[in-house]
Amino acid sequence: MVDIIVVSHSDQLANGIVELNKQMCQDANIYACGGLEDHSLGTSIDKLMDIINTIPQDHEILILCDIGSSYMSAESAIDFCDIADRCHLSKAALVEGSLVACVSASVGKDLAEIKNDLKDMILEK
Amino acid sequence: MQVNEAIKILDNINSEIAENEQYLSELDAAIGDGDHGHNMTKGMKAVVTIIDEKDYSDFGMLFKDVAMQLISNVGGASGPLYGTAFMEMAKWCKDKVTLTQDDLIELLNAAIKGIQKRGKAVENEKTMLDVLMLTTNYLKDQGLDGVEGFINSCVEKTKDMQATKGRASYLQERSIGHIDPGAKSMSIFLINMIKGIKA
Repeated sequence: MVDIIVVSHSDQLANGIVELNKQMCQDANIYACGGLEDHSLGTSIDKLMDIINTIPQDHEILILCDIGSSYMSAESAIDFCDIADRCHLSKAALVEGSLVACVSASVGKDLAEIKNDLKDMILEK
Repeated sequence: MQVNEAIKILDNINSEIAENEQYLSELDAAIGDGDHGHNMTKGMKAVVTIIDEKDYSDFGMLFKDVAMQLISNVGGASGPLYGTAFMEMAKWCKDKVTLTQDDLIELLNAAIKGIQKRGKAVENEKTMLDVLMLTTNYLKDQGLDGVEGFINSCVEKTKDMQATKGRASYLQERSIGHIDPGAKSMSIFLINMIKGIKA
């Protein structure tokens, strides 16, 4: 099972992307990690770590990010919470990438297969 | 420099970042999202709240706490960047109880390694590294004399650069003509650290 986390500077943007994905894949394990604790713009490593900690140990994790610093924040979180072996941080285009990943995860593909599905959608981040 | 002196330096950095909050945010508003002053002030406030109430026996423990506070409390790119810099510095000075002028150069090399690991930037991309890398070279070649003036000139030089990393890079050539806010905040860290080594 692959769980997907959408990291964005904006709470609304992250939730909107999750909403869009849920329309296609109702049962997908996709989480919104947007904005800071007070809902202002920014990326919160604590918020991301809290989500990661709720994901069962036997699930793999795919993290998709909006722009530059959310990628850096997510990368720091992976460094500090020892999940690198079951986690992939992707530079795929956020909206399209999340849809591809969600559909792939819902048909039971593993992290390596999903990573491959996203390979043509990688951006500079 | 002893650990308790480093705590004092971090207190001074906190005060100076807070004094420059508006200026840093103005610099950031010109080429980014305008929150650098607010973010750094919030981050450094969290740092001093933790370090002022704990006892540290070595620099490694101190810098690790600084790193975690910055990573957790700065909402923008500067959180992971400064946080990873302090984390690499913490690794380098694990168990160290004093720091000399030579140690400072090694410490700054560790910070460069951390920032490059996270941000993938090189020199001349209008980032904090344009101050940190040149200052480290200056210290290696010329020592402490005149380094404060040199640091300020490095900050000024970022004005003429075009950003190719970070959010400012979206502005392309319109990023030219503004000082990089990360370069300015980095100068505050460096000048205070150098004051501490000189004392």
